[in-house]
Amino acid sequence: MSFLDLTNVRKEFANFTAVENFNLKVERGEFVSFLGPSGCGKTTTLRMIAGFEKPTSGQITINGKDITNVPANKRNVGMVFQSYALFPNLTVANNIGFGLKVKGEASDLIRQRVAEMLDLIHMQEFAGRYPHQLSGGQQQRVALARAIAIRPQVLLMDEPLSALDAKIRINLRQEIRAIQRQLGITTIYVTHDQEEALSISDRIVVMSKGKMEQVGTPLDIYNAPKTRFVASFVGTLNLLDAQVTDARNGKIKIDDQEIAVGQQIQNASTGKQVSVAIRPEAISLNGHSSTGNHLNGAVEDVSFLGSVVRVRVKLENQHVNFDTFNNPNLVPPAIGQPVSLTFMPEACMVVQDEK
Amino acid sequence: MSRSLLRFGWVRQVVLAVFFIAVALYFIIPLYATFRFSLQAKRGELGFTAYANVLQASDFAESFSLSLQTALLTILVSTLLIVPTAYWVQLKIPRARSLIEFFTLLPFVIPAVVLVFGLIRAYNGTGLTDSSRGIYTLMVGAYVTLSFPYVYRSVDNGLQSIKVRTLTEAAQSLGAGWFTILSRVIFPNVWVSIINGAFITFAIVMGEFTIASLLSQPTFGPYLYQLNSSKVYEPSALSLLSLGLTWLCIALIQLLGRRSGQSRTTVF
Repeated sequence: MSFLDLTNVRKEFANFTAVENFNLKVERGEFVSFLGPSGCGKTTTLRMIAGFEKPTSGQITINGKDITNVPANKRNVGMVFQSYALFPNLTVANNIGFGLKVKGEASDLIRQRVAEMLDLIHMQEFAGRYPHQLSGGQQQRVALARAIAIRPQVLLMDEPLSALDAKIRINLRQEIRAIQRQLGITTIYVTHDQEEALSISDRIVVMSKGKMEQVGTPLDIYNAPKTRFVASFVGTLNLLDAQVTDARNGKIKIDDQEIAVGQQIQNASTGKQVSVAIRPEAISLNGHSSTGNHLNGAVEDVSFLGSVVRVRVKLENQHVNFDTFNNPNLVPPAIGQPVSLTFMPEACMVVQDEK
Repeated sequence: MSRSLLRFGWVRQVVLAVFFIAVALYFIIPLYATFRFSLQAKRGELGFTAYANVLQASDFAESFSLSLQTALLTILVSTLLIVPTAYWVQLKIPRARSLIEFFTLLPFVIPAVVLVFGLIRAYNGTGLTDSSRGIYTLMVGAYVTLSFPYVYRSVDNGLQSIKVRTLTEAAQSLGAGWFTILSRVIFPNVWVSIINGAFITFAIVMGEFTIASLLSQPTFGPYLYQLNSSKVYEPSALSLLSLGLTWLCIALIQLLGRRSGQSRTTVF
């Protein structure tokens, strides 16, 4: 039996369904991210686990115990909020010790646990400060320590890094992951940032319009998206319309240029419209591979992204982006220049169209 | 250009200073005149005879302490009633805010006389109008109603300045129940707003005449009125004394509020 179990969970508000048919099993110590755009139901699902929203139907269990109707304050589930939610009237130490005090722990034990937590987040010298005297990153570390201090069964994090600037966000997400691994705490993490989800999670649940689109490891989600939505939402992707020309031999046509995609379309009928996803980093320029695919087009735009240069090539009706590492010795292609794009058949992912 | 600006700035400062002095004099001159008048109780000399007479009168101490007690009771009841209400409205039924605001404004449009007779009529036969304690309770109830617009608005503004929902959920996730949330999270964070509401409630109750008089309660307002009609210098002395005492109480409340704000709350 899994540690956290959501079975057929559904949440309806007045006239719309926020979460539908949500089934997920999370193992003890696992770090699972809910990833999706705003309004996809990821926060609602998290709030149902926390007890702030009651499912319209379905069941939530933690460690075998049904908590669907247990009030939020009886669940022993820690929560970290996007807006930190530190109590402004309490010092850092008192914020961290709040949950333990509520539980009726002895003062000595609380002090000891608070010291441990401050040590964990490397903020021993900030114990006496108030939240308004801390930076955003420091406040979120305190919020994390406060949530962990009560030794929760599950740690829930609702876009905890969204309000922070890019550099702090990267440092803090590494810190969160290190602490989570160190303590082995089962964690559900909500984010709309795919890079964050890919870098931090054991598994990712990609959600759209209240439904689970795909559940898998970051590698699965990135390399083998099952739906057009997942393919387009996770990472930068070329999503091209194509037509099956020879299903048995895995051939399709994109803007009248035939390419091979392997065994993926074996069961498709000739003439069927499909979507093909190709990652920009899987494409190279003017390669000479005999086994690879070639698409011919003209350079439409060149964008410098720091370590990477992204080139947009126009085929007949569609566009393809490809990435190349920045190299000061290489001159990027000129706009309008005819180019041939090369990529392996394995780099092509035929994805299901949304119904 | 810069010279004209400089001249304009200088003129502006003078105008502001004149305005400030005029406003200050508008308040200070009547106070000074009352003070000067209160010192003339003994013919031909200035002294504090009127003050001594007032302070020695047993009615003064009784009426003042009764008003003080009523004011503190009113503040306590309205705080205990309004803070949880305003909190609940913001948390659970934010759409009802405008309706609640409308209700809290009713004391502005319902005259005190109507309020008193309404209370007497509504509670007649319940036992509340039969005893002095019952009538005193009705008076406190009337004052709590009068304090609604000030306390509710002040507390509501305070609650809007903090993230009520998130703080509540954070406390819940840490195991806190409603009482703990209210006492350890909400109250300490709207303390300054409560003090502001209490400040106005205190001033209203200490000087209130109509309700106390119609309910025959010997509070400070009716006492001052009675004294005014029978003495010459003592009412002026009493007015200044009550003003001074009111300011002292307010200063104490603010000091208390500031101290609690500085030391904040400790959990363990």
